[in-house]
Amino acid sequence: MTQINTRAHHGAAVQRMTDLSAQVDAVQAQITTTKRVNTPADDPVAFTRAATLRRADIAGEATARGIDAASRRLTATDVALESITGLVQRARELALFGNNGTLAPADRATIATEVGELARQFAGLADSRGSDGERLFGGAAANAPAYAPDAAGVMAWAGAGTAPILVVGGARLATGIEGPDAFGRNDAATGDDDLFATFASFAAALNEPDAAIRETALAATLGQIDAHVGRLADARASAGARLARLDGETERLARTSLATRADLSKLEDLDMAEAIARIQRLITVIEATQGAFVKTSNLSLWDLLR
Amino acid sequence: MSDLLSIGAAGVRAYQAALSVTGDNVANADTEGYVRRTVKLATGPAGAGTPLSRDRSGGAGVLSGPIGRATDALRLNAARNAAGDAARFEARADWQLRLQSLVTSSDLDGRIGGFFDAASDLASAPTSTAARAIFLDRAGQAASSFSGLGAGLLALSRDIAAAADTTTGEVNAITAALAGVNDELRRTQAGGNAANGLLDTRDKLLAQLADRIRIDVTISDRGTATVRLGGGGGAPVLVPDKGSAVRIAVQDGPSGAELVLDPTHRAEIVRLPASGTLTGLLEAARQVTAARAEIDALAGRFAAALNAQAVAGSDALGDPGTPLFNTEGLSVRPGLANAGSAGIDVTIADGAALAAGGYRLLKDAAGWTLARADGSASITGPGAITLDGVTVRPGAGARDGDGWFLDPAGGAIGLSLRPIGPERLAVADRFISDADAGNAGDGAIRLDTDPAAAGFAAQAPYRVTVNAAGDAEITDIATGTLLLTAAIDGSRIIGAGFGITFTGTPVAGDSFRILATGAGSSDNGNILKFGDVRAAIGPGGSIEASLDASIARIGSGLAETDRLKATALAVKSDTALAADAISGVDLDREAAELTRLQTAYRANAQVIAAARDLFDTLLGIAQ
Repeated sequence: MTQINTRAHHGAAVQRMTDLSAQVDAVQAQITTTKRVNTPADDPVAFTRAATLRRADIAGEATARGIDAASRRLTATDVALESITGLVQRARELALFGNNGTLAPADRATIATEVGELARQFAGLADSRGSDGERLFGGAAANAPAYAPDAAGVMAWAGAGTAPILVVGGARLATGIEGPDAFGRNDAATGDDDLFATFASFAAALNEPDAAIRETALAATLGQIDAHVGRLADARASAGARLARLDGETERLARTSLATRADLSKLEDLDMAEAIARIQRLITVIEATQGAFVKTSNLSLWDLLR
Repeated sequence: MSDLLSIGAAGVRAYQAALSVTGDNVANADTEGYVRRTVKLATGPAGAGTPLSRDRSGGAGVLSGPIGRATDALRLNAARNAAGDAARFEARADWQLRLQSLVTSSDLDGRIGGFFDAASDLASAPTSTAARAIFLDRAGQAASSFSGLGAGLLALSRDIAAAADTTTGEVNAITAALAGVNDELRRTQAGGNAANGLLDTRDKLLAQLADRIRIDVTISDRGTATVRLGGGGGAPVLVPDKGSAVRIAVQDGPSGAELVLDPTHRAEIVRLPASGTLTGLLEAARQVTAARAEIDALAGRFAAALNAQAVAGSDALGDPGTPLFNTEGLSVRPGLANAGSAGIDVTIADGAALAAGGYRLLKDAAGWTLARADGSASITGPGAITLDGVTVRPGAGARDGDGWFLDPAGGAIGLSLRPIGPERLAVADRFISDADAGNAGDGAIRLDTDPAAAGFAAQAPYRVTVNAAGDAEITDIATGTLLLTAAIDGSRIIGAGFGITFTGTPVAGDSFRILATGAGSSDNGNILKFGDVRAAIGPGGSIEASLDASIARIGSGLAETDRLKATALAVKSDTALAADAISGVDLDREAAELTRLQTAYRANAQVIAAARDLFDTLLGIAQ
């Protein structure tokens, strides 16, 4: 004959109520953190996937910071190139003006003074620095002037290598314009001059007393200046293209980040309505269990013994 | 008449005995391990039929038989085994939960990610001292997270070992007590109160034992128990029917912690029993051992890959890079017999070559002595002492004779950031290259650092020119000397400390420069390769994926144990209820019993009164 053991009956009832309280506690923890997965044991697969997504999201933020730095550098480069283009345009006007045979030597001297001023301004801009103090046109040699006099005393590019590479989504992007690409280089074989040499030869031509030699020299200078205008325009175009690429990458990153967060939310986040309904149901069950326990344990034959 | 009197008296005695058994049951309703007592009433034996005694054909009266215990051996056994299962999973879940919170609270995942993200930030600002300092700080955080987790795991496995030792001590105490109970039972008469108490004790001890290890119990007619470890006929005997109990112990074995039978004599390794706290503890110990091995391997891989990459680059002063991490440390283990309470602070100099066997530190009247464990060198001093670059600073509170072991610690515990300044961080490649602005082709060159490469005498800078035949000519820029001519066919050209690979289509006349990276370069070639280390696939995927997998394994181990625990607890409560349905006390039933027995007692008293009346009547006739 089976019987209901009083001690075991009490123990079992208390155990059931403890279990229910533990369930309420678990749901409450989920509600307060608004997350379904709080520890690896809650859902090992979702936890791993969420760790991967969170990592990708944070790495995306670091990449976005890299893009910002590269954009700052390219924008600063573009601003410097724009100013230099203005200087070269002004030099071109002065070259056309100075090529006028009716000008008095004193006027040419004035023009020569202005050309000297333009050359100094250019020298300053060619050594422009970015936000970290790095030379914009020096390539990887960032802590020394981009242009310095060489052994023969001629201004020459003192840079080396290329500006820091930015890696976005596996692609290696250039983040700067190197001096020779914007300002040309001195090459005796092809007769090319860089912008420093062009300014120097322009000033020298203006100071040439012989009209015939002067005109030839000024015509050559004008040709060089036209070449420089074209090269500067090309350099600005490639800076602009790189900036546009960075903008595109920024947008792509923003979209990726949004998708990643949506995925994370799907993996981790709690269905709040369902959780609240569940906790209500559990509380109702607990109250009913407690009531039933009190009622049934009050039933005792001993009360009826007199 | 006298037989009616004796029948009544027998009834009163019998029901009194039955009532006291019921009273005992009520009194012990809440006593753990108490088994409900029963008393069986039996018809009394026939008398001799003398004139003063009852007739042969008359009623026989009642006798209270021996007091029994309401048990069911099968149900008890099922309850014991189920309780052992639940205890196994509860113990395992406890320690697995600690393992999981240790691993998640170390935030190793986040620290490693933060380190690689700092590398990515540094690549965007290679010359920024702030970015370098942040990178080094993150590297330090990752290293300390590794070593903290390593130390935590070591402490956890020591805690589990201590808990397992305590549990084996309890098992040995219980089996010894059971052997004692067996002896007592053989000397005690069955059915008495003393015997029943012994049987209660026996069952309670068996239940306690089954909570700790899986046992197989055989009960003899006299009530003595033979206890075997595990199940099956070949299972070793822990408590024999007659004789002393066999001790058990836990020791380290090839497959982690192992259970050993009779450690002082036979020392026989036995299979892990199927249930009990001890099994849960040993299973958890094996999991912690596995987790430690994984974290140690990961720490080794992390340090080796990043040190190799750091060495391959060039720092802000233009010098070759130095390793980022130290991979060897010392873990301090106080001697077991230490009487004092001194703490020991150990620092290891950068680049110190540690002795393979570790060190010993001893305090005696002469002061402190630090010695290599193999005894090949030692040093004695009053306070801080240094040997092999290991400096020990003892705290206060040491007694003479105290000793400490400084064990070599590799893996995660030994990982630490080397003391390097921001300028010593190898962010740049050792060599950089640029293309001449007048190049007509779209060719480019890629350099890779290769200290072993020696295609020609090192004499940077170099110029690489594509000649009319389409071959690459490498010349020394300073002297114009031709160093090497190599075909451009996509294969790697061996340089001096670097290799060259052409991409794109170079045209004759195109030229490139190859320069040694000078001081203060803003090149970020080497730090970019830290990203390649992050993405590199090794055993178990990338470093972070492999860590995720380890954490997921720990998590799913815990989840599995939790599920098993829930099931085992349900079975435990069911089987316990089933056993209690036989053995436990139901107060309502006892109340009913009490009423019934009381009525019977009164009726028997009435019989005695009737007998007295009859006797009085007879005496009246005689007068």
